[in-house]
Amino acid sequence: MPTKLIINCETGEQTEVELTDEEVAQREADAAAYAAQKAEQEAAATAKAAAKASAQAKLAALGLSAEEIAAL
Amino acid sequence: MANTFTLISSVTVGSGGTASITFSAIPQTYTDLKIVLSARLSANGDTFGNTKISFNGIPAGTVYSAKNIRGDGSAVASNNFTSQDSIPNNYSAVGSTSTASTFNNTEIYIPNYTSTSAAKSLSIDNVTENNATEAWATLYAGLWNPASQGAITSIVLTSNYSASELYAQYTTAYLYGIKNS
Repeated sequence: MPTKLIINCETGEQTEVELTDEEVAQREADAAAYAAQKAEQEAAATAKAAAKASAQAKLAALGLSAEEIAAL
Repeated sequence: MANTFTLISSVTVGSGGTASITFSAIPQTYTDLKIVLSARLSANGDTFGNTKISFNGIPAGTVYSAKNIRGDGSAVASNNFTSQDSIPNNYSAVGSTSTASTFNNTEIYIPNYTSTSAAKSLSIDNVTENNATEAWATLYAGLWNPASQGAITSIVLTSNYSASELYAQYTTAYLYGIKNS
């Protein structure tokens, strides 16, 4: 069973305590929530990059140079 | 400008690793707190991981919010977090596939932590280390705003990238108290 480390700042005592079943379940839920959040963020970043590339291609098709597009 | 930094407590993770680090019974005799964390995560299968930050116990309700800006060696991005159960502080720790024996640098600054009437803000500065293109620099601004305000008496640092990962051996955390900031 994984442990957690607790440092009492008043006494300086450091204790290592095994996680409870409830805490392990919470870690699993947190990890699942983070995975979903990360996937959402990555999808948003991918969509934004694709939109940027599409916009740059359209500007280039209108005759703007790469330097002009970069200056926008 | 702060003129005193006093080490309140520090810890070095042992050979078995640990799932979280808690500073409890924090003295209420300073104006600000600063945590300096050097962390590596085991068994998460990526170049980076997270260090969630929460105050006065876990879970403390969805009363945290944050914004970040980050870069990974090839791109930059930012995210907005509302109604969180902790400050997420993603992309902050060195993950298990980064160069062996490397650790991240994280500084967490918490002003006015003894207030019993005001929400608590914090700022976080993270950099990871990796002998490859992908390494992360991440800045956070965060807020803890519970319905009933209280002084910060404990701080929990924990990772949530995967349930099996642990803070690896030699991860260190230092808690400083600051007066006259």
